[in-house]
Amino acid sequence: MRHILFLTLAYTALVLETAPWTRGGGALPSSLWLVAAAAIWTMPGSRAVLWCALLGFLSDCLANGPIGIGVALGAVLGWLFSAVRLQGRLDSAPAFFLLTLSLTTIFALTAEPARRLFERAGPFSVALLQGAIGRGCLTGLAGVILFIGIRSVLPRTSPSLDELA
Amino acid sequence: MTEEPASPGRFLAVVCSLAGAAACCLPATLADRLRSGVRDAAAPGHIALTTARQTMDRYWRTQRATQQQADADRIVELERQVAELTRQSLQWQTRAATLATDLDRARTEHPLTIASKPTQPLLIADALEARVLSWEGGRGDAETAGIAAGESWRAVLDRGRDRGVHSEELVLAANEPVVDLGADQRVEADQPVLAGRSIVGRIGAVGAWTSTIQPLTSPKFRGHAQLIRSSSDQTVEGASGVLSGTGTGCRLEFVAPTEPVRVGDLVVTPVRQSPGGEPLLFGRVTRAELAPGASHWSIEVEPACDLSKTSRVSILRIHLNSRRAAAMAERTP
Repeated sequence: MRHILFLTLAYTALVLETAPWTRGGGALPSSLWLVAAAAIWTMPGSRAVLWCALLGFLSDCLANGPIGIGVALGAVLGWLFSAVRLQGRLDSAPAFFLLTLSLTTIFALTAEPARRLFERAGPFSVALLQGAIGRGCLTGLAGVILFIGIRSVLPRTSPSLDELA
Repeated sequence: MTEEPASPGRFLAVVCSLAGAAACCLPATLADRLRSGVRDAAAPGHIALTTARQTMDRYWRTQRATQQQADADRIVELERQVAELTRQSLQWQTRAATLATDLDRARTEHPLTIASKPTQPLLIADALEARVLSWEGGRGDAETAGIAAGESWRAVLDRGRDRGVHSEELVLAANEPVVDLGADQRVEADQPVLAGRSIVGRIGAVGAWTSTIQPLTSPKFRGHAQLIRSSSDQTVEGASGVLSGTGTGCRLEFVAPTEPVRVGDLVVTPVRQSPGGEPLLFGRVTRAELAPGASHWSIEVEPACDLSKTSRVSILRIHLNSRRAAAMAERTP
């Protein structure tokens, strides 16, 4: 059931990322990595890794460069953040904000230079750094708003840390 | 020291990383096909989103149109209520006038049993016929009107006794009409000037043989006035106000917003305070507007008679009844 829900969420994120009104410029939250953060938050490590890899694949399909960088980075980041969350026993809204912000920013700061390297373009620029941090903050804010909203309506939506472990 | 078994998460992360690294080596055509497939898969979602947005837009437009229609209906209903209340107001005014007439008649038909003796009024009115000597049809310029009215204004003229100029003679403004009656006929300032039963102005300044007329349209003209409305069978008294000249026309001021006013209403001297007991006509209401939140009506009045087209006028004089004075003299030893 949870996988069907995440399939719907992933498809919705894909539609939102490719929607015509997102091409007009301006910063928008990354809906794909918001879903990835939700997967890390609500699923055990192995499943979270799979979902992050799938969302990384979708991210690859929407960007220029070779397909596979997002898959590899998504899987590694999914496992890493899942482990950090369980080790640190993080279960609060600020923790979710930090998770979403870090996940989005680190992915943007690693995947984009890697893609540029493959295309033999400059690997890094200040604009890329600013864009990654800005998008990470926006995604984190959107995530924490959704987190608080869902928790206030449905107090018991995610498994406990012990269940995940 | 025991070795911790590798977790399934770590194992999957390694596998996915290797798969990702291998996918990087896919041919460009295959990668493009994958991209196209993913983007095509998103198309139904875009269609659903667009449809949802259009449906929402249509819904809000319908809601707005419905609200506007409801507002328009409400306005029509309120206008109908205003018209109905105005009609009822007129009916009640007519009823009040009828009752007042009935009361007067009852008092006349059923007088007090104590016999009352008819008496002479203290003030009586008479009218002097006068001819208009000059009229330039000016615009009622304030400065020249001030000269004619002989206010606290002094000037030196370049004509003297050698040209037949004497003291107390009028210095005429070019834009005020002059009549051929003056102090010799006991004409005094502020006496009403009539053309038939219409007031055309009042005496401005009085000379020995002639006088000037201050028309209704003069910016210095002010007079107490009252609205009356003629219906099919009788006349209804309306609100009172102050009639003032604007230079080109007249305006009725200080009429409360609660009073009914309509274009076409007559403006007359106050019915119960008119000289001679009968109201005299000032003019007719040509525009009546009540701005939202205004404290008074804005009413424009067109004078009933054009003074510039009049050659003969009457000057109404109010004076003490000589019979009362004579009776007093007889009683005094």
